[in-house]
Amino acid sequence: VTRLRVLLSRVRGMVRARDLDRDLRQEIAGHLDEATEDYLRQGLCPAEARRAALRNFGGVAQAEEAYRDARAFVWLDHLRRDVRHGLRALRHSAGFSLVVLAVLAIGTGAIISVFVLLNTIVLQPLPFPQSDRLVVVKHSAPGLNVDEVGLSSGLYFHYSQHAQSLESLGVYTENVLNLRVPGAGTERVHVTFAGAALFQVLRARPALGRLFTEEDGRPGFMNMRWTIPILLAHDFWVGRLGRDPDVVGRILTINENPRRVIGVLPEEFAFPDRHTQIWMLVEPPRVTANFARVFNWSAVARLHPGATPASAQAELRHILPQIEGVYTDATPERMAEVGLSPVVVPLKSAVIGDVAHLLWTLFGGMALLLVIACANAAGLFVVRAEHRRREIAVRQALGAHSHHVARMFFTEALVLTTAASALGLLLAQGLLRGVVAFSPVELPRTVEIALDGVAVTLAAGLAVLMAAFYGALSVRRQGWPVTVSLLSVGHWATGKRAGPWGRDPFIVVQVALALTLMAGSALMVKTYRNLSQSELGFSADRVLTVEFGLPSRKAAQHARIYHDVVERVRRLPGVERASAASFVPLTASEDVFPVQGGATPVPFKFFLPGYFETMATPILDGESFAAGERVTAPYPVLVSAALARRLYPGDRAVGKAVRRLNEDGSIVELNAVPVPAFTIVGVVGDIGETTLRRDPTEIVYVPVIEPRVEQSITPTNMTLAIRTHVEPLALSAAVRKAIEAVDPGLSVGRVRSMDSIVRSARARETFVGALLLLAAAVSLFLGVVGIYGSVAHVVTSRTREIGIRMALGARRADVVRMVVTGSMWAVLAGAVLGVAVALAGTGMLSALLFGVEPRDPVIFLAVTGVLLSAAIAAALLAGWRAARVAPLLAMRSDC
Amino acid sequence: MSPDKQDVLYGTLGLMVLKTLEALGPLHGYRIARRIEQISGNELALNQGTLYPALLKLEQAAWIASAWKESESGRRVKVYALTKAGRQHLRTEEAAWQHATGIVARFFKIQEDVS
Repeated sequence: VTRLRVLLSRVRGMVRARDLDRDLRQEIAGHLDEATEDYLRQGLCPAEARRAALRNFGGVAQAEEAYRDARAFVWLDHLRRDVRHGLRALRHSAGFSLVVLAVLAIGTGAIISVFVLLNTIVLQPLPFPQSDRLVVVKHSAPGLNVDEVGLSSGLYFHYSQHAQSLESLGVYTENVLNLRVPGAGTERVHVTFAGAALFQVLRARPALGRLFTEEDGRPGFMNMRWTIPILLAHDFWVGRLGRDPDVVGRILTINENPRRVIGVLPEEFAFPDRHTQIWMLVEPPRVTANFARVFNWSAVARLHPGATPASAQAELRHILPQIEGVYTDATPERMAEVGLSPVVVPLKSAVIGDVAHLLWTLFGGMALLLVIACANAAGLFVVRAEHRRREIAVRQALGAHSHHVARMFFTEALVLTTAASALGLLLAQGLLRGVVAFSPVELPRTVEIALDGVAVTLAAGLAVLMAAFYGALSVRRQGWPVTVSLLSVGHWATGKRAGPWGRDPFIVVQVALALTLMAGSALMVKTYRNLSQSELGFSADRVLTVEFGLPSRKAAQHARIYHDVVERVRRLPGVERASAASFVPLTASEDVFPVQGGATPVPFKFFLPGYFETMATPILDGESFAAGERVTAPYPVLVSAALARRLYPGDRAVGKAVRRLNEDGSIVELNAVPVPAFTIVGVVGDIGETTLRRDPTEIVYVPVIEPRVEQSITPTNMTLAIRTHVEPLALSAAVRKAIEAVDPGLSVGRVRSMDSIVRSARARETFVGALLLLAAAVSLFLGVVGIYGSVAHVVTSRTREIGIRMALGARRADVVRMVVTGSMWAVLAGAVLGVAVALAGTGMLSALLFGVEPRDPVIFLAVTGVLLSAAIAAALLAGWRAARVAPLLAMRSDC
Repeated sequence: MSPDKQDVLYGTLGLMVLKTLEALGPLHGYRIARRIEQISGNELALNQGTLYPALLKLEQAAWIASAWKESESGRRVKVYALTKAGRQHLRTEEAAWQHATGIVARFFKIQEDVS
């Protein structure tokens, strides 16, 4: 109890230090006065009485000191004093402090921001309970010529029933549907059809109402009088329904059908991603279930405790053959042909995708930048420590111990690095805001991104580590135990008594790492240029794209409606040309209209006459379907040049017949009559329909004309392509109105300029490239400044020597050579090391590169050249200044 | 100061202060110092300054309490008084001290017997 009381009163003593100091002084003064009076009474004269009183008291200052020590915490008092002293010392050399502060703040800010991204997106578990047990189930199907497929309805029932390692299995598919809003027309909504088990798998909890249950699936989807339940995303509920508290039970009209809202998901819930606004209950139909006709189900499962993705995958592979005979199409031949093989991967890696790689790359880059910044500041600390030898000598002469000097250096370093880390945190905060708001890359999990305790801990840790390093470095420059003699400082100290920890090692590190960063960023810049200059196959200038959809009940009139829309849009002021197609370049997903054309399935793209004219895509051969042009061949289609090359190598494709086939290779029939073959009437120049990186797309272009060319597929999603005279987005409202005027049932989706689509296709490279380029620029700058500083430092410390040499007849050129060559060794060593590190490290980038090798010799030579010439220029500049030293002045100088 | 004066035994100053306050009631710093010197027959070299940290420690432990008052000479002085806890502490410490010195005294006695 007593101890606690003492502790409390000490805390009080610390807080009220000033008042208590005054009290103490008053008390001591009173004491001395009384003692003096006593002595006066004994007959001493006033002066002697006072002296006697003071003598008996025995040292006022010591008493006060001892009193203060007892009052509060001694070490805290010392720390406060040291910090105050450190601040004063740093203010004295404001230049040094500011530079170190800026350099270290940049280094820490960069690493913290990328670390926060990495931590939230890649390292933290997904925001679902026990998310490490969530897996994605899919298949590789080499027989289908596609990368991956999901589950067919038959596979879903098969796995749900037999897989022991899966606790539960949920399926879903994503779609975009039309939501009719009373009094506000129709809008497109992202709907995820979700099996009843999906939310159990994820262990989600509703914010309002309830989630789907197995019972919800019971009434049966064939029952026409049953209202299918839906769930709402939080954002949708807030944004579109004004946070309606009575939303549960409300009916929304989706694709002309009533759907009943039974619940709202919490704000942080997002599955499969943020796009989903509505989840609609769905159940794979048992009656029509099949083994391998359509693989339209994505699946997520919760593993039983103890099961791993690998063991689950092994089990699924084991039980898959037992499906034989369960479904009519599960024949041994068909199974062998498809070559299906289950793949089970953690949900997290599926969600993150290759962003993990991108972020690790950036993290590596920023770590290099931090090391460069640290090395740069280290050079400054070394110089400062040397400049303070005189001060240290004076301190020692006055009785400072080695550990006093050491404590002083460490505290000063700590004050600086703490301030730098705090600044770095602020910088990171800004960077993160920017990344989240303006990032060209669609990063997953951005809502979770924030500076958190981890970031602050990292900043604090960095501050302490850097302080320890710089403190040790400064102390080392004085030698240990610190014995700096006043005599050894100043006058005739010559040469650069550079010990093993002079500036040179830091120059080596800076040059080496700057070269690595520069090589990496140069590779990314080259990639970016390659992507920008790769043949687009169309012109993206002033093109507005507007996605719109057709309600399925109007499918029969689709051709007329599309033509009407295009006609109306063409007549709008500011429009040069307009047409439409199922999608515009760079936006196609892999599995749009999979059909057989020859051996490998190729996508189909529907287009309206005038489309290629609008996009400025060249027609290499045959007809072009320009607006108003008539085509007489039966069932005419166009093909891409890439497809023409594959199907008819060395032959003209125009005039040939081509057929869409069923997945099993049979001829497509409509009402038991074979659908007639298409005639290829033209060849279209190659376009990257999916990405900029792939080879040109093999694709069939089907015109939407009368009579119908493709009879069994009706395109219900179209994208208008409008070339304008004005800023494209300025027309979006007018286009929207035009679409509505044709049919209010049409819904409008994303409105984007073609330019922005092209930009986002290069987003990832731009993002990494820009950040690395920034890091490289900063590192080059730091490196050059570091070299300049190093040479300049050599010059100052050898001023007298230079003076003597010049007095003895050395020419300026000799002096410059002498000074510069001294530093050049470090630069050269750094360059060699840098090339080695870069050669080893740029392999990390190879997945991001396009059209350039990770060890491109030209880039390596160029980067090394730039860095070396910058280094030499910096050294020469500093050396040239040295050569202007006047001999007499130099010999008299005292430093 | 004469060389034969004894330094205050480390840790005993507090005890002396407490005993003084018990005997004379509330006193200010200078009076406490003088009293200790007088009792010891001027044989203790008390560095009066060291009294104040000792007083602070006693106060922190709540064995004494202080208040600003007017002295006989009309000065504002800080007057220290023994608290209840202090009185109790003094009693236990006194007993322990007697006990310890008793043991030590017995040792000296034995030596005398042997010699």
